[in-house]
Amino acid sequence: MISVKILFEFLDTTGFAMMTWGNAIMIAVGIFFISLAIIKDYEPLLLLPIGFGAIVGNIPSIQGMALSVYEEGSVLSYIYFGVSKGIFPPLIFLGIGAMTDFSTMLSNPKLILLGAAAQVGIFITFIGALYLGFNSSDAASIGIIGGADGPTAIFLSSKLAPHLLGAIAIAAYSYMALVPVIQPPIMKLLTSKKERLIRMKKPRHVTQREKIIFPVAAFLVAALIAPGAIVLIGMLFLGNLLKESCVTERLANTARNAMIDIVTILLGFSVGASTQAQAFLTNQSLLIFGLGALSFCIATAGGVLFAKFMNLFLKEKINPLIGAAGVSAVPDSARVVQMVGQKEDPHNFLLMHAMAPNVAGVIGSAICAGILWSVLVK
Amino acid sequence: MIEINLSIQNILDGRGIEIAIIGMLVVFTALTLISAFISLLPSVLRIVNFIYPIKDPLSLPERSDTPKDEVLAAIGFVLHAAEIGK
Repeated sequence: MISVKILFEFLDTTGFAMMTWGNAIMIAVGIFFISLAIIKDYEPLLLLPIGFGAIVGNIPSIQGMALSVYEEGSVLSYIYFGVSKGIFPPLIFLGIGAMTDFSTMLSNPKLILLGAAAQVGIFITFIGALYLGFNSSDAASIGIIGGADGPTAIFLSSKLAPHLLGAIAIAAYSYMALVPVIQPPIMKLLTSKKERLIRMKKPRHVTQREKIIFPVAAFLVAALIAPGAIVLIGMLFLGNLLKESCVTERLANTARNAMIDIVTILLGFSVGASTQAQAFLTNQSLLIFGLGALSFCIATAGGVLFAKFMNLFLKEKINPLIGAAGVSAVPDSARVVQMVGQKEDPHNFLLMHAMAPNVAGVIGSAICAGILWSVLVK
Repeated sequence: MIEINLSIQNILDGRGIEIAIIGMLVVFTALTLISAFISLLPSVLRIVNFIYPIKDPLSLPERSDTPKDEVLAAIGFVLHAAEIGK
Protein backbone atom coordinates (compact mmCIF):
# COMPACT_ATOMS: atom_id res chain seq x y z
CA MET A 1 0.00 0.00 0.00
CA ILE A 2 2.85 2.32 0.92
CA SER A 3 4.67 1.54 -2.32
CA VAL A 4 1.56 2.44 -4.35
CA LYS A 5 1.39 5.75 -2.49
CA ILE A 6 5.02 6.43 -3.32
CA LEU A 7 4.35 5.55 -6.95
CA PHE A 8 1.48 8.08 -7.07
CA GLU A 9 3.61 10.70 -5.37
CA PHE A 10 6.30 10.09 -7.96
CA LEU A 11 3.80 10.29 -10.82
CA ASP A 12 2.74 13.71 -9.53
CA THR A 13 6.30 14.92 -9.96
CA THR A 14 6.73 13.77 -13.56
CA GLY A 15 6.80 16.20 -16.42
CA PHE A 16 3.51 14.80 -17.75
CA ALA A 17 1.68 15.73 -14.57
CA MET A 18 3.03 19.25 -14.38
CA MET A 19 3.05 20.09 -18.08
CA THR A 20 1.16 23.25 -19.03
CA TRP A 21 -0.11 24.26 -22.46
CA GLY A 22 2.56 26.93 -22.49
CA ASN A 23 5.31 24.38 -21.94
CA ALA A 24 3.90 22.20 -24.72
CA ILE A 25 3.82 25.17 -27.10
CA MET A 26 7.41 26.10 -26.28
CA ILE A 27 8.54 22.49 -26.77
CA ALA A 28 6.85 22.59 -30.19
CA VAL A 29 8.69 25.86 -30.93
CA GLY A 30 11.96 24.15 -29.94
CA ILE A 31 11.24 21.26 -32.29
CA PHE A 32 10.35 23.79 -35.03
CA PHE A 33 13.73 25.53 -34.56
CA ILE A 34 15.57 22.21 -34.76
CA SER A 35 13.62 21.35 -37.92
CA LEU A 36 14.44 24.74 -39.46
CA ALA A 37 18.12 24.17 -38.68
CA ILE A 38 18.26 20.64 -40.08
CA ILE A 39 15.80 20.78 -42.98
CA LYS A 40 16.15 24.39 -44.15
CA ASP A 41 19.74 24.91 -42.98
CA TYR A 42 18.73 28.27 -41.41
CA GLU A 43 21.52 29.28 -38.99
CA PRO A 44 21.93 25.66 -37.78
CA LEU A 45 24.81 26.49 -35.45
CA LEU A 46 22.46 28.68 -33.43
CA LEU A 47 18.96 27.42 -33.99
CA LEU A 48 19.80 23.82 -33.13
CA PRO A 49 21.22 24.51 -29.64
CA ILE A 50 18.54 27.16 -29.01
CA GLY A 51 15.79 24.75 -30.10
CA PHE A 52 17.07 21.94 -27.92
CA GLY A 53 17.56 24.38 -25.05
CA ALA A 54 13.92 25.46 -25.42
CA ILE A 55 12.84 21.83 -25.09
CA VAL A 56 15.05 21.32 -22.01
CA GLY A 57 13.89 24.57 -20.41
CA ASN A 58 10.23 23.69 -20.77
CA ILE A 59 10.28 20.33 -19.06
CA PRO A 60 8.48 21.20 -15.82
CA SER A 61 10.62 20.59 -12.77
CA ILE A 62 9.82 20.08 -9.10
CA GLN A 63 10.06 23.20 -6.97
CA GLY A 64 13.24 23.26 -4.93
CA MET A 65 15.14 20.78 -7.10
CA ALA A 66 17.20 23.58 -8.67
CA LEU A 67 16.93 22.48 -12.30
CA SER A 68 15.96 25.50 -14.38
CA VAL A 69 18.13 28.43 -15.44
CA TYR A 70 16.21 30.70 -13.11
CA GLU A 71 16.83 28.62 -9.95
CA GLU A 72 19.88 29.54 -7.94
CA GLY A 73 22.45 26.76 -7.75
CA SER A 74 21.21 24.79 -10.75
CA VAL A 75 23.74 23.64 -13.33
CA LEU A 76 21.82 25.48 -16.04
CA SER A 77 21.94 28.70 -14.02
CA TYR A 78 25.74 28.50 -13.99
CA ILE A 79 25.82 28.10 -17.77
CA TYR A 80 23.28 30.93 -18.11
CA PHE A 81 25.56 33.09 -15.98
CA GLY A 82 27.65 33.72 -19.11
CA VAL A 83 24.56 35.12 -20.82
CA SER A 84 23.02 37.03 -17.93
CA LYS A 85 26.30 38.75 -17.08
CA GLY A 86 27.18 39.46 -20.72
CA ILE A 87 30.30 37.27 -20.74
CA PHE A 88 29.58 35.14 -23.80
CA PRO A 89 28.93 37.95 -26.34
CA PRO A 90 32.44 39.49 -26.10
CA LEU A 91 33.97 36.01 -26.42
CA ILE A 92 31.95 35.45 -29.58
CA PHE A 93 33.16 38.83 -30.83
CA LEU A 94 36.75 37.67 -30.27
CA GLY A 95 36.08 34.69 -32.52
CA ILE A 96 34.31 36.83 -35.12
CA GLY A 97 37.30 39.19 -35.17
CA ALA A 98 39.67 36.29 -35.71
CA MET A 99 37.52 35.12 -38.63
CA THR A 100 36.88 38.45 -40.30
CA ASP A 101 38.88 39.75 -43.21
CA PHE A 102 38.48 43.52 -43.32
CA SER A 103 40.26 43.79 -46.70
CA THR A 104 37.19 44.69 -48.74
CA MET A 105 36.31 47.39 -46.25
CA LEU A 106 39.86 48.72 -46.24
CA SER A 107 39.92 48.79 -50.03
CA ASN A 108 36.70 50.81 -50.32
CA PRO A 109 36.31 52.83 -47.11
CA LYS A 110 33.29 54.87 -48.28
CA LEU A 111 31.19 51.67 -47.99
CA ILE A 112 31.66 51.85 -44.22
CA LEU A 113 29.00 54.56 -44.14
CA LEU A 114 26.40 52.01 -45.22
CA GLY A 115 27.13 50.15 -41.99
CA ALA A 116 26.29 53.34 -40.12
CA ALA A 117 23.12 54.06 -42.09
CA ALA A 118 21.65 50.63 -41.41
CA GLN A 119 21.73 51.34 -37.67
CA VAL A 120 18.76 53.65 -38.18
CA GLY A 121 16.59 50.57 -37.54
CA ILE A 122 17.84 50.44 -33.95
CA PHE A 123 16.90 54.01 -33.13
CA ILE A 124 13.54 54.13 -34.95
CA THR A 125 12.49 50.93 -33.19
CA PHE A 126 13.70 52.44 -29.91
CA ILE A 127 11.27 55.31 -30.50
CA GLY A 128 8.54 52.84 -31.52
CA ALA A 129 9.00 50.79 -28.34
CA LEU A 130 8.84 53.95 -26.22
CA TYR A 131 5.61 54.90 -28.00
CA LEU A 132 4.12 51.52 -27.07
CA GLY A 133 4.85 52.15 -23.40
CA PHE A 134 8.15 50.34 -22.79
CA ASN A 135 10.58 52.20 -20.55
CA SER A 136 13.82 53.57 -22.06
CA SER A 137 16.04 50.63 -21.05
CA ASP A 138 13.60 48.05 -22.38
CA ALA A 139 13.06 50.05 -25.56
CA ALA A 140 16.82 50.30 -26.20
CA SER A 141 17.24 46.55 -25.71
CA ILE A 142 14.41 45.88 -28.15
CA GLY A 143 15.75 48.40 -30.68
CA ILE A 144 19.16 46.73 -30.76
CA ILE A 145 17.54 43.69 -32.43
CA GLY A 146 17.69 45.83 -35.59
CA GLY A 147 21.47 45.63 -35.40
CA ALA A 148 20.96 42.01 -36.53
CA ASP A 149 23.73 40.97 -34.22
CA GLY A 150 22.80 38.32 -31.65
CA PRO A 151 25.76 38.81 -29.30
CA THR A 152 25.30 42.60 -29.27
CA ALA A 153 21.58 42.22 -28.55
CA ILE A 154 22.29 39.81 -25.69
CA PHE A 155 25.05 42.02 -24.31
CA LEU A 156 22.92 45.16 -24.21
CA SER A 157 19.80 43.50 -22.85
CA SER A 158 21.85 41.75 -20.14
CA LYS A 159 22.95 45.21 -19.04
CA LEU A 160 19.73 47.19 -19.51
CA ALA A 161 16.81 44.76 -19.47
CA PRO A 162 17.79 41.32 -18.10
CA HIS A 163 14.11 40.35 -17.71
CA LEU A 164 13.64 40.60 -21.50
CA LEU A 165 16.83 38.75 -22.38
CA GLY A 166 15.24 35.47 -23.45
CA ALA A 167 12.70 37.07 -25.77
CA ILE A 168 15.23 39.49 -27.25
CA ALA A 169 17.84 36.78 -27.86
CA ILE A 170 15.31 34.47 -29.51
CA ALA A 171 13.95 37.33 -31.64
CA ALA A 172 17.45 38.46 -32.69
CA TYR A 173 18.62 34.99 -33.66
CA SER A 174 15.32 34.09 -35.35
CA TYR A 175 15.45 37.16 -37.55
CA MET A 176 19.13 36.55 -38.31
CA ALA A 177 18.14 33.09 -39.49
CA LEU A 178 15.38 34.63 -41.57
CA VAL A 179 17.61 37.18 -43.34
CA PRO A 180 17.16 35.37 -46.70
CA VAL A 181 13.39 35.68 -46.28
CA ILE A 182 13.07 39.19 -44.83
CA GLN A 183 15.59 41.19 -46.85
CA PRO A 184 15.03 40.39 -50.57
CA PRO A 185 11.50 41.86 -50.87
CA ILE A 186 12.64 45.11 -49.25
CA MET A 187 15.73 45.28 -51.46
CA LYS A 188 13.68 44.74 -54.61
CA LEU A 189 11.01 47.19 -53.56
CA LEU A 190 13.50 50.01 -53.01
CA THR A 191 15.70 49.53 -56.10
CA SER A 192 15.14 49.64 -59.84
CA LYS A 193 16.35 46.89 -62.19
CA LYS A 194 18.92 49.34 -63.56
CA GLU A 195 20.31 49.92 -60.08
CA ARG A 196 20.45 46.20 -59.30
CA LEU A 197 22.52 45.71 -62.47
CA ILE A 198 25.27 48.14 -61.43
CA ARG A 199 28.67 46.47 -61.47
CA MET A 200 31.31 47.69 -59.08
CA LYS A 201 35.05 48.05 -59.58
CA LYS A 202 37.29 45.27 -58.29
CA PRO A 203 38.64 46.17 -54.82
CA ARG A 204 42.29 47.27 -54.64
CA HIS A 205 44.98 45.15 -53.04
CA VAL A 206 45.38 45.85 -49.30
CA THR A 207 48.82 45.45 -47.75
CA GLN A 208 49.41 43.39 -44.65
CA ARG A 209 50.66 46.49 -42.85
CA GLU A 210 47.29 48.23 -43.38
CA LYS A 211 45.50 45.16 -42.05
CA ILE A 212 47.65 45.23 -38.89
CA ILE A 213 47.30 48.95 -38.22
CA PHE A 214 43.54 48.97 -38.82
CA PRO A 215 42.28 47.07 -35.73
CA VAL A 216 44.36 49.17 -33.34
CA ALA A 217 43.44 52.50 -34.93
CA ALA A 218 39.76 51.64 -35.43
CA PHE A 219 39.50 50.47 -31.81
CA LEU A 220 40.98 53.75 -30.57
CA VAL A 221 38.56 55.81 -32.66
CA ALA A 222 35.47 53.76 -31.75
CA ALA A 223 36.30 53.30 -28.08
CA LEU A 224 37.23 56.92 -27.48
CA ILE A 225 33.97 58.10 -29.07
CA ALA A 226 31.74 55.46 -27.44
CA PRO A 227 33.50 53.96 -24.41
CA GLY A 228 30.47 51.78 -23.72
CA ALA A 229 31.50 49.72 -26.73
CA ILE A 230 34.96 48.92 -25.33
CA VAL A 231 34.19 45.31 -24.42
CA LEU A 232 32.58 44.29 -27.69
CA ILE A 233 34.74 46.35 -30.03
CA GLY A 234 37.88 45.56 -28.03
CA MET A 235 37.36 41.83 -28.31
CA LEU A 236 36.44 42.12 -31.99
CA PHE A 237 39.61 43.98 -32.86
CA LEU A 238 41.80 41.88 -30.57
CA GLY A 239 40.59 38.81 -32.48
CA ASN A 240 41.34 40.55 -35.75
CA LEU A 241 44.81 41.60 -34.61
CA LEU A 242 45.55 38.01 -33.57
CA LYS A 243 44.65 36.97 -37.12
CA GLU A 244 46.42 39.72 -39.05
CA SER A 245 49.59 40.01 -36.99
CA CYS A 246 50.76 36.65 -38.41
CA VAL A 247 52.63 35.94 -35.16
CA THR A 248 49.74 34.54 -33.09
CA GLU A 249 48.29 32.08 -35.54
CA ARG A 250 47.68 29.51 -32.80
CA LEU A 251 45.65 31.97 -30.71
CA ALA A 252 43.70 33.16 -33.75
CA ASN A 253 42.94 29.55 -34.69
CA THR A 254 41.66 28.77 -31.21
CA ALA A 255 39.56 31.93 -31.09
CA ARG A 256 37.91 31.34 -34.48
CA ASN A 257 37.42 27.58 -34.10
CA ALA A 258 37.34 25.84 -30.73
CA MET A 259 36.54 28.83 -28.54
CA ILE A 260 33.73 30.36 -30.60
CA ASP A 261 32.19 26.92 -31.06
CA ILE A 262 32.19 26.19 -27.34
CA VAL A 263 30.73 29.59 -26.49
CA THR A 264 28.11 29.28 -29.25
CA ILE A 265 26.94 25.94 -27.86
CA LEU A 266 26.73 27.26 -24.29
CA LEU A 267 25.09 30.52 -25.34
CA GLY A 268 22.56 28.93 -27.68
CA PHE A 269 21.62 26.19 -25.27
CA SER A 270 21.23 28.41 -22.22
CA VAL A 271 19.30 31.09 -24.13
CA GLY A 272 16.98 28.35 -25.35
CA ALA A 273 16.62 26.99 -21.82
CA SER A 274 15.67 30.45 -20.59
CA THR A 275 12.48 30.44 -22.68
CA GLN A 276 10.31 28.82 -20.02
CA ALA A 277 6.69 29.32 -20.98
CA GLN A 278 5.85 31.01 -17.69
CA ALA A 279 8.45 33.72 -18.37
CA PHE A 280 8.38 33.74 -22.16
CA LEU A 281 4.79 33.39 -23.38
CA THR A 282 3.61 36.89 -22.61
CA ASN A 283 2.16 39.70 -24.68
CA GLN A 284 5.45 41.48 -24.04
CA SER A 285 7.35 38.80 -25.99
CA LEU A 286 4.89 39.10 -28.89
CA LEU A 287 5.48 42.86 -28.97
CA ILE A 288 9.23 42.28 -28.89
CA PHE A 289 8.96 39.92 -31.85
CA GLY A 290 6.87 42.43 -33.76
CA LEU A 291 9.20 45.33 -33.01
CA GLY A 292 12.24 43.18 -33.82
CA ALA A 293 10.87 42.43 -37.28
CA LEU A 294 10.14 46.11 -37.81
CA SER A 295 13.64 47.01 -36.68
CA PHE A 296 15.19 44.55 -39.11
CA CYS A 297 13.13 45.85 -42.03
CA ILE A 298 13.94 49.49 -41.27
CA ALA A 299 17.65 48.68 -40.94
CA THR A 300 17.64 46.97 -44.35
CA ALA A 301 15.74 49.84 -45.94
CA GLY A 302 18.05 52.38 -44.27
CA GLY A 303 21.14 50.78 -45.80
CA VAL A 304 19.64 50.52 -49.30
CA LEU A 305 18.27 54.07 -49.29
CA PHE A 306 21.55 55.51 -48.04
CA ALA A 307 23.42 53.71 -50.85
CA LYS A 308 21.04 55.38 -53.32
CA PHE A 309 21.67 58.71 -51.59
CA MET A 310 25.44 58.21 -51.88
CA ASN A 311 25.03 57.51 -55.59
CA LEU A 312 23.76 61.07 -56.07
CA PHE A 313 27.28 62.30 -55.30
CA LEU A 314 29.51 59.48 -56.52
CA LYS A 315 31.12 59.30 -59.94
CA GLU A 316 31.59 55.55 -59.67
CA LYS A 317 28.16 54.32 -58.64
CA ILE A 318 27.69 51.64 -56.02
CA ASN A 319 25.08 48.93 -56.34
CA PRO A 320 22.45 49.95 -53.76
CA LEU A 321 21.73 46.32 -52.96
CA ILE A 322 24.93 46.21 -50.92
CA GLY A 323 23.37 48.74 -48.51
CA ALA A 324 21.22 45.90 -47.19
CA ALA A 325 24.38 44.22 -45.92
CA GLY A 326 24.84 47.14 -43.52
CA VAL A 327 22.83 45.16 -40.99
CA SER A 328 25.50 43.12 -39.37
CA ALA A 329 24.24 39.55 -39.83
CA VAL A 330 27.64 38.35 -41.08
CA PRO A 331 27.89 36.86 -43.65
CA ASP A 332 24.25 36.03 -44.31
CA SER A 333 23.13 39.48 -45.42
CA ALA A 334 26.16 39.75 -47.75
CA ARG A 335 25.17 36.40 -49.23
CA VAL A 336 21.61 37.64 -49.72
CA VAL A 337 22.97 40.67 -51.62
CA GLN A 338 24.95 38.33 -53.86
CA MET A 339 21.89 36.16 -54.43
CA VAL A 340 19.56 39.07 -55.28
CA GLY A 341 22.21 40.68 -57.50
CA GLN A 342 22.86 37.47 -59.41
CA LYS A 343 19.16 37.01 -60.11
CA GLU A 344 19.40 40.14 -62.28
CA ASP A 345 22.87 39.47 -63.68
CA PRO A 346 24.46 36.05 -63.10
CA HIS A 347 27.92 37.50 -63.82
CA ASN A 348 27.73 40.28 -61.24
CA PHE A 349 29.66 39.31 -58.12
CA LEU A 350 28.61 41.57 -55.26
CA LEU A 351 29.63 39.35 -52.35
CA MET A 352 33.07 40.87 -51.78
CA HIS A 353 31.67 44.41 -52.03
CA ALA A 354 28.81 43.56 -49.66
CA MET A 355 31.26 42.28 -47.07
CA ALA A 356 32.47 45.87 -46.51
CA PRO A 357 29.18 47.28 -45.17
CA ASN A 358 28.54 43.94 -43.52
CA VAL A 359 31.62 44.09 -41.26
CA ALA A 360 31.13 47.85 -40.84
CA GLY A 361 27.64 46.97 -39.57
CA VAL A 362 29.19 44.80 -36.85
CA ILE A 363 31.27 47.75 -35.69
CA GLY A 364 28.29 50.11 -36.04
CA SER A 365 25.88 47.99 -34.01
CA ALA A 366 28.47 47.51 -31.26
CA ILE A 367 28.96 51.29 -31.14
CA CYS A 368 25.17 51.76 -30.94
CA ALA A 369 25.04 49.32 -28.03
CA GLY A 370 27.80 51.32 -26.36
CA ILE A 371 25.96 54.60 -26.90
CA LEU A 372 22.64 53.27 -25.57
CA TRP A 373 24.34 51.67 -22.57
CA SER A 374 26.24 54.88 -21.75
CA VAL A 375 23.14 57.06 -22.04
CA LEU A 376 20.71 54.79 -20.22
CA VAL A 377 22.85 53.15 -17.54
CA LYS A 378 21.50 53.91 -14.09
CA MET B 1 4.15 42.65 -17.89
CA ILE B 2 3.83 45.79 -19.99
CA GLU B 3 0.61 47.72 -20.30
CA ILE B 4 0.23 49.02 -23.82
CA ASN B 5 -0.18 52.73 -23.58
CA LEU B 6 0.25 54.38 -26.96
CA SER B 7 1.32 57.95 -26.41
CA ILE B 8 3.68 60.46 -27.94
CA GLN B 9 4.31 61.63 -24.39
CA ASN B 10 6.12 58.30 -23.73
CA ILE B 11 8.63 59.18 -26.44
CA LEU B 12 9.15 62.65 -25.03
CA ASP B 13 9.49 61.34 -21.47
CA GLY B 14 12.01 58.73 -22.58
CA ARG B 15 14.03 61.34 -24.52
CA GLY B 16 13.50 59.11 -27.56
CA ILE B 17 14.05 61.67 -30.31
CA GLU B 18 17.18 63.15 -28.69
CA ILE B 19 18.78 59.77 -28.04
CA ALA B 20 17.98 58.62 -31.59
CA ILE B 21 19.46 61.73 -33.21
CA ILE B 22 22.55 61.78 -31.01
CA GLY B 23 22.97 58.03 -31.47
CA MET B 24 22.90 58.20 -35.27
CA LEU B 25 25.19 61.22 -35.19
CA VAL B 26 27.75 59.42 -33.03
CA VAL B 27 27.66 56.23 -35.13
CA PHE B 28 28.15 58.24 -38.32
CA THR B 29 30.94 60.26 -36.74
CA ALA B 30 32.79 57.17 -35.50
CA LEU B 31 32.49 55.29 -38.77
CA THR B 32 33.28 58.39 -40.86
CA LEU B 33 36.47 58.91 -38.83
CA ILE B 34 37.42 55.25 -39.32
CA SER B 35 36.64 55.61 -43.02
CA ALA B 36 38.75 58.77 -43.28
CA PHE B 37 41.61 57.08 -41.46
CA ILE B 38 41.52 54.11 -43.83
CA SER B 39 41.45 56.45 -46.85
CA LEU B 40 44.51 58.28 -45.61
CA LEU B 41 46.42 55.20 -44.48
CA PRO B 42 47.93 54.18 -47.86
CA SER B 43 49.25 57.73 -48.43
CA VAL B 44 50.71 57.89 -44.92
CA LEU B 45 52.36 54.49 -45.38
CA ARG B 46 53.81 55.64 -48.72
CA ILE B 47 55.40 58.66 -47.02
CA VAL B 48 56.66 56.52 -44.14
CA ASN B 49 58.17 54.06 -46.60
CA PHE B 50 59.78 56.95 -48.49
CA ILE B 51 61.35 58.45 -45.36
CA TYR B 52 62.31 55.14 -43.81
CA PRO B 53 62.89 52.79 -46.71
CA ILE B 54 63.14 49.76 -44.49
CA LYS B 55 62.58 46.46 -46.16
CA ASP B 56 59.39 45.32 -44.53
CA PRO B 57 58.94 41.58 -44.72
CA LEU B 58 55.21 42.06 -44.24
CA SER B 59 54.88 44.22 -47.34
CA LEU B 60 56.55 41.64 -49.55
CA PRO B 61 54.22 39.95 -51.99
CA GLU B 62 52.65 36.89 -50.49
CA ARG B 63 54.39 33.60 -51.19
CA SER B 64 52.70 31.78 -54.00
CA ASP B 65 52.28 28.04 -53.91
CA THR B 66 52.22 27.92 -57.71
CA PRO B 67 55.56 26.72 -59.14
CA LYS B 68 57.55 29.20 -61.22
CA ASP B 69 57.54 29.04 -65.02
CA GLU B 70 60.99 27.44 -65.18
CA VAL B 71 59.93 24.70 -62.80
CA LEU B 72 56.77 24.10 -64.81
CA ALA B 73 58.83 23.94 -68.00
CA ALA B 74 61.19 21.40 -66.41
CA ILE B 75 58.27 19.25 -65.21
CA GLY B 76 56.73 19.45 -68.67
CA PHE B 77 60.00 18.43 -70.28
CA VAL B 78 60.42 15.41 -67.97
CA LEU B 79 56.84 14.27 -68.56
CA HIS B 80 57.24 14.74 -72.31
CA ALA B 81 60.53 12.80 -72.29
CA ALA B 82 58.93 10.01 -70.28
CA GLU B 83 56.02 9.91 -72.76
CA ILE B 84 58.41 9.61 -75.73
CA GLY B 85 60.44 6.95 -73.93
CA LYS B 86 57.36 4.70 -73.58
